[in-house]
Amino acid sequence: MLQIKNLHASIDGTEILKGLNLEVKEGEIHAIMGPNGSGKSTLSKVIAGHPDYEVTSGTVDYEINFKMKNVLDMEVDERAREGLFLAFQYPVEVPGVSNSEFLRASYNAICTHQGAEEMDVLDFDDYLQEKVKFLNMEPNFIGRQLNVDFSGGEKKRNEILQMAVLNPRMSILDETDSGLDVDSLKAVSEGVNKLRTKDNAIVMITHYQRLLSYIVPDYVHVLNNGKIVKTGDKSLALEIEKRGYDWILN
Amino acid sequence: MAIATVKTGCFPHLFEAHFAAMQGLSKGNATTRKTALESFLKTGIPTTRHEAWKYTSLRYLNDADFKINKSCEFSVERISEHLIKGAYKVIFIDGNLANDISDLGELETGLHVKATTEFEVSNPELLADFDALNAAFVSSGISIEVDPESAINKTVQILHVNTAANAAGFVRNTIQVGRASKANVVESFVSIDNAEDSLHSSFLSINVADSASLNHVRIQNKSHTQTDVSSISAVVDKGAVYKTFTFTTNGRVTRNNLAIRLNGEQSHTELLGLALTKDEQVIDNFTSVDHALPHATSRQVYANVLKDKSRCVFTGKVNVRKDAQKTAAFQLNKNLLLSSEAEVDTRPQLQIDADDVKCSHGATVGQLNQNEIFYLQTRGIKRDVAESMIAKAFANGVLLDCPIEEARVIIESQINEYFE
Repeated sequence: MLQIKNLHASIDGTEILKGLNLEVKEGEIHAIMGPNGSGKSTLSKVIAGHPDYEVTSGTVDYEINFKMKNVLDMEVDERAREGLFLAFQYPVEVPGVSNSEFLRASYNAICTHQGAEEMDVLDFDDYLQEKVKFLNMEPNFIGRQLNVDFSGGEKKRNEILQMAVLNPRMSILDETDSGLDVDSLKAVSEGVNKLRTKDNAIVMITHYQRLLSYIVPDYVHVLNNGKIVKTGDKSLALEIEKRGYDWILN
Repeated sequence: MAIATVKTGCFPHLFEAHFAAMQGLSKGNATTRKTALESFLKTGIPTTRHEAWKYTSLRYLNDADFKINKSCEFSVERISEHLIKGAYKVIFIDGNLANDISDLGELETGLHVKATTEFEVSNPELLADFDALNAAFVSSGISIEVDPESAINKTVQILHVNTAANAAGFVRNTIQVGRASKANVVESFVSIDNAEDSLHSSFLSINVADSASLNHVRIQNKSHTQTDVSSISAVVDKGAVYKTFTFTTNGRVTRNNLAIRLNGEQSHTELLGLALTKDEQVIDNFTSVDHALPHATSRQVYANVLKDKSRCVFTGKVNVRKDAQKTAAFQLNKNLLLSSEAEVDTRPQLQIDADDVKCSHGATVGQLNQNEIFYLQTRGIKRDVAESMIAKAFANGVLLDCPIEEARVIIESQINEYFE
């Protein structure tokens, strides 16, 4: 579903990704771990298309209608409409835009793209309430301004709500566990697990093993200095938890 | 140093041509009119050399050839989208009070709306530029009076409509809200298609008596060749509240002078404004708040959104006098530039002569936040839609504080139009 080949990317002239390769298939969960500054967040931003990052070589092929297409040639919003989703490490506050208004605009943009009819305000509200319930969230969540004055945990849960509403095929969760207390971590993980199907795939970027005991990955990759240097199963994460990264990197 | 010549445009000629007719409108003030005209002739059409007009050029008025339109023939259906349903209406056509289509006389208990026949202008020799012109040319006006201890249910809507090309109109109104009374007034400044290159000048004098409350909204939306200069002078007495919201969009040059004197303890005023500009439009808000007595509060927020080569000017003076201890004054001018060719000139000014006060003032000029746009785009929303969602939220954030619901609805649709 997603195939990254020899990806090189830089920001302000500094190369961060230095030939990264990764393949993700339908139904799989991948975890990408690595020390600070290894390029984890850069990878997620480049896949989503953040304008600050320059891709100097390589491809990010993504399956659209049974054909692989390089998403690097697509606009940010176009990638999202094709079912590519990034849960932000630091979700952005957008003052004055209500959560529900935003979600409806987003949902309808995707519907229109897929040739479906837009949902009107009332129907969408029902749909949204259903998702809120599904994720055990407070109903008043959706009436608030987008991420404004949300706690760290609320912001992360809001990302998962967006994921539930938009139902993406390929989700990248960037440090979704950072800044969460145990209860929030559980709630967020349960949300993600509920959204998992055999047709979608998830890439989790994380610093700690902690998240992986709630959302169990099929593969664990270690990213260092802009490349994946080791791949294993979930036991690799446990070993990193015990021994740190040094034994892999040296 | 060369002394700049004072330019007076067509106004001396216009005055001569209409003086006799103006006398018929209002007796006994020939001297006032003449003195006011002399004051105007001394200062002339303001130029950017005048401190108060530093960023707004009216040079094009030098060559304008204005006429006075006397006709009040007009069908209100032509401006139906601007009408507030169920409100009392007072309609001015090119500066003339349209008696036949206005609600005058005694309305609900406690409310009186009357046509003005005698214009009182104090110290005409001290007036300058448009205030002087207005006093010299004023052709009609109304007074709105609210008796003490009366809460007026229905909104009063004053509509200033420009209908004729090159017409200059001069209106002078007063609002007097009696002790412990409440009223809502909306002023709409509009034009119809064939009213090109016209000029409208209005002067509004307001008094909110002890413990009374006045909500006042101005909606200014005229075609791109119109010049509008409105002046308000308000006195807010003890324990009284005056809230004013000014929404401006379109027009060629719109200048709003707003002077508020907090004239009693525990008085409060809110001056809020939202301007949306495009093309080469200029909107200039010039405010002053005079804290004359202790324990009074003022809150001022003016927001501007600019497209294309348009300009917004804000000058806000807050003066806290020596005796006005325990004053709380807040002032903010915030600007959102949607084009690199648009320009903002902002001058928040604070003068404090008391020592126990809480005052803050500031101005911000910014562009759309790229991270916010990126975030919305990652959710499938197209860039231009994301931009307009964020900018519209900026405008709607200010509109939330608009004190009259019926006006808010009209403004909301005009905000949507601007962002379409």
